[in-house]
Amino acid sequence: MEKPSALVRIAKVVAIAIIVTLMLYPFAYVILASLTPPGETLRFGLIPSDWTLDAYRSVLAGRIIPRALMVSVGITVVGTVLSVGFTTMLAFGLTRTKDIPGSKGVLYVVLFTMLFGAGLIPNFILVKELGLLNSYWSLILPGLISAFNMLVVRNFFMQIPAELTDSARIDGASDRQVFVRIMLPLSKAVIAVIALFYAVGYWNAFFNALIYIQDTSKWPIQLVLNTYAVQGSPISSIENPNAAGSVTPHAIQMAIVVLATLPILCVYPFAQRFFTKGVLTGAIKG
Amino acid sequence: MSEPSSLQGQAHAEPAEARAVLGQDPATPPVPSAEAGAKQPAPFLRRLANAIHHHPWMYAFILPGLAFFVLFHYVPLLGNVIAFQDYSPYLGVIGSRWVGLQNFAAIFRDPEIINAITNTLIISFLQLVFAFPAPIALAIFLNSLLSERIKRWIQTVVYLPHFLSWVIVIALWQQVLGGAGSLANGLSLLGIENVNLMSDPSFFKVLVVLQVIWKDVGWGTIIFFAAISTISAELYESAAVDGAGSWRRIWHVTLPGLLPVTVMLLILQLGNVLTVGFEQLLLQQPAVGAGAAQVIDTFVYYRGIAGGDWGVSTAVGLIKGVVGTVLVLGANRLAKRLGTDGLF
Amino acid sequence: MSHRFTRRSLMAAGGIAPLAALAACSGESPGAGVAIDNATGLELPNHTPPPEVEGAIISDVEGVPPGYEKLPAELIRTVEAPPGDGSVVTEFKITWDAPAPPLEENVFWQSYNEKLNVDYQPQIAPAANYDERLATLLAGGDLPDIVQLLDTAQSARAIRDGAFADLSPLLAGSAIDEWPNLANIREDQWRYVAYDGKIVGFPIDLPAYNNEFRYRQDWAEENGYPDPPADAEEFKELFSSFSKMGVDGRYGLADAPGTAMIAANAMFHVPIGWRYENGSLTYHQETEEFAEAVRFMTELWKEGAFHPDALALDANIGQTLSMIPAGTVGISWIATANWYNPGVYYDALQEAPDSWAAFVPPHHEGDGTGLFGRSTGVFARVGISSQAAEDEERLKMLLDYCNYLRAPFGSEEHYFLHHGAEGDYFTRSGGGDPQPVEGTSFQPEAAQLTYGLAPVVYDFPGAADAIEINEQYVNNSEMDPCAGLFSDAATRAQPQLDELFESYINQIIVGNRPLTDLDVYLEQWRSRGGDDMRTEFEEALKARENEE
Repeated sequence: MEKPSALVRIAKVVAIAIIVTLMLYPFAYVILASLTPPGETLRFGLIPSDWTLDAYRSVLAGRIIPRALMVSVGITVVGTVLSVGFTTMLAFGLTRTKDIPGSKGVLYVVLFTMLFGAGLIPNFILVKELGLLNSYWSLILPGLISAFNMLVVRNFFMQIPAELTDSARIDGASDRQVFVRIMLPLSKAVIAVIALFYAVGYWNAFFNALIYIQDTSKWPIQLVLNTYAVQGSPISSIENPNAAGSVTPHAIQMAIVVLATLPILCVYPFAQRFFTKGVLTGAIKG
Repeated sequence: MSEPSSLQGQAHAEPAEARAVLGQDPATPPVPSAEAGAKQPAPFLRRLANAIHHHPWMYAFILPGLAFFVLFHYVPLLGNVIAFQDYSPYLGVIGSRWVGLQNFAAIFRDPEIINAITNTLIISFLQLVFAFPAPIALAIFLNSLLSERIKRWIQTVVYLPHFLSWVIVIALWQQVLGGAGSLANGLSLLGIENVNLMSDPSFFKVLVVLQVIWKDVGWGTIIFFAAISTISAELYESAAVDGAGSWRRIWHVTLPGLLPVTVMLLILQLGNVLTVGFEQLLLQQPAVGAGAAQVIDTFVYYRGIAGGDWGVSTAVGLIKGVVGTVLVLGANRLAKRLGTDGLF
Repeated sequence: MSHRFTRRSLMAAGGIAPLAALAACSGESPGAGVAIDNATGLELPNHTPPPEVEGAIISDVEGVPPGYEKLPAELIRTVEAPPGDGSVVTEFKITWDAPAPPLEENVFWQSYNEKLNVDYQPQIAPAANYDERLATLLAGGDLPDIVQLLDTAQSARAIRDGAFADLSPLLAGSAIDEWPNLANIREDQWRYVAYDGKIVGFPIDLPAYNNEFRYRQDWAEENGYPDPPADAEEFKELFSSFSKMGVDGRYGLADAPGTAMIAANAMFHVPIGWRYENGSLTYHQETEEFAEAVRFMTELWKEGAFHPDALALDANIGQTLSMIPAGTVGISWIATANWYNPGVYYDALQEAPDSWAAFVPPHHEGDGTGLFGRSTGVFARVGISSQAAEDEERLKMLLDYCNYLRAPFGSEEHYFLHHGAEGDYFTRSGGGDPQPVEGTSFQPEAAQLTYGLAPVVYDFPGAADAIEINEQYVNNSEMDPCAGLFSDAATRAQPQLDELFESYINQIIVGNRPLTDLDVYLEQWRSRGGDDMRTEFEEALKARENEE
């Protein structure tokens, strides 16, 4: 391809600079604010002259955090694997609504669930009746398949040229083989996408844990961190004599954001690898 | 209360890219009988039995998913009966008083409802026009960068704001656009005083959409990157060979490649038109007043959970569902008529 | 999200246990249910004052917490035997902190179970999600044995529907003597934990006035104001001057309406809650005094006394509170204990003793002090579920349990609840001050477990000063005449009316709406529930008068 003109290139660089600044600035602010001692205030553009890790010490003092982190990791991993599996299966099952009687109805059924919900109490009662209260499964099963994610996958499946699947069927491949040997390998991008969506969803979930899990030692990280500085509610500012220093509620809020977000940010680069271009290039030949 | 799907804790796409479009299977040979799913006498059952025999795996794939949705979505739907009751959690569905359509009447008699609906529709419209296309534009722009490394790095940076909670996002915006923020300070150096974009009721709806774009545009590009990656490189090459410059390549190759996903998301976004955000608006209402910031979900919050009236919040949920269904069906038909594959 | 708690009621940073969070809620109607006077037909339990403790500073003014500058050398015993019977005791608690470490790792929890002979299993709910959590517990059909009931619509409904046991038969009159610590609860407090003439729980203690005002004396002196403001005019000048000192980011007042409005209401003697005259009620917002207070607020805004994002700060308490130690705001209104117990505010004061000085907002024309809102003494109720109470033996055991938790200051039980077993977290020898043990931290492990029934005291050095200041507030306070009345309309409409307030009053203060919109606001307030509330309360007040 020809190189774009110098003017266009400069414009692109400027645009990139603006976008990056807009997106990165808040994180820089958050990190700096979490390190700011009580006597200072962080203003835009000012680096605090003094910094302290007290906010982190305060948040980590409860010894709950490591356990909560493990709970979150466990739920995220297990949940994502199960969700991706069931979602892709269902999506594939619904790709041929003309040939498979009943599948169109199922499609309507799934679609309908995106428009109507039941609310807090009916869902709670269901989980309770299933005996899932206080169990980790209550954090995974109710959200096992997201209708939206399923539809995204189905959409991508249906973009795969029919010639590929047809020729495989003519050669005698069963539907299962078509799924495993053709659809999945060609869908790495979309699978990476929904895996990312699910992973982030499980990682960020706290509301389910709030109402279904009574045992605080089973709480995931987001819920634990949520209790520290929710909506600006005050935090116990009485320091035990054994802790170091004292911290403002604001710094704690920021420290929590850092602790809650960092782990999941590391996941995206892995998903990115699958967005390589032209996965379908050359697939049709021969 | 946030929309029901958030209860499942899924990374649900933001309003800007609500739902997926379902295409029709492109290459199935024409089947003489009517569409599956319609209630038919014997022929349907026979076809069904036949199909299960010939395509056991397809049904095996469908069954667990179907069971999941029936159990975890349809069974709780029965709870919507609360909408017709004066519901008390302690007394339960059995013990609570039946009030018929009273909850619905109360909603429409409420003096605040018109304001809530108007604000909701305006914000929804603005989001549709500005926030919905933003990720597409950004994805295409980033895609046009030559360096893979820079592209990847920016992709990561650009989706960071998605992870911040609204509490933090609004606090950060205060730092810049608030009355004591950098913008105000900068402008006062130029002699323009008292600029406070965060507390201006007339600017508020625009502010809301800008916030949504800032927070979610990066995240929204993910789906489009994935879609772009499925476009065959040959198409680009043959377009280049035909002499198309970069703009024309975008127009003739990239955009058509993104069309199915885009139509998909657009139709579902329409189904979601009455939901424009909750926490974001609730947090800013003290600064700009309910006149500017009241939407359906905050309206429900003040009467539902905070006011102890579950019947009302459930009733609103039902209304939203009905409206959403009508819109999705209508949009789907329109999409088909315009030549694209519809949603179903 | 329980909106009411994130707003004015949480102006104060938390202290230990009962001093956590709440400021005196002036002007907010307390309860829910049907329009009735809860205390009608109530048989009060007898009151026994808490045992005398050496070194106690007891104020003459009722409602001011007792002060103890140090622990007495000898602790008394108030409970003879462990109250529990070894069974599980479940409790639903509200929390503003992170969860405590689990039982296996929590030395305090283990010794707690041992000392009280229970298997204690709390279920905690973060403050912001209290309502949702409670609703699911109620809907699920098994309430914990003990439930902390905040003043929300959900809990009001539950009380009305009979979810909680009527304790009157076991506690009325001299029956309560079986539980001497519970008998320390004051008469006025019983009135506010009652519902429809029945005792449905115990109070979580609240001083008559929980917070105090402080201002930056050092800045004031710099600007030529050696004394605290003597009237409203001076108040305005003083705090405006802070904003004009040329220090970047420094403002006299931060959140609006917030702290400043509380001061303004006090200065203009706005009635607390309702004004009751000749059988009819006027809401405080309908009065002339309130109109003047609002006008004053607009003046403050115009003078530049406020932070430009004052309205947003009102919604983000964490940020506002952080401005206090950061030195970017000139006024504060937080719980008294925060200035005496080690923490951010205490430390800030230690570093600069001239900075924050206490002051009492004056009458707007300098004719005495302002008028403050006296609390009901009850922050929340602690109820026992009807289910648990079906078994009378179990009910008695739960009462014994609550009795232990309410042990007064100076008792062994109270010491245990605040310091743990001897040597676990603190050591105490020869009646001196408890010394912390290296490597242990009591607060994160115990505070949440013990939050609830412990009585409010000022147990820190400097208690005498704190009491003196608090007396000034309590002496100049009045209580809402409608406190203790349940009104269905109030519960239902209050959140919307709060929202309405924000839409109008907030905007009037910053000049987006004219002052005349106050009348528009009042019209809407009346039609959207205000008049209904008025009718219900008036009926209840009449009924109360007829009783007496």
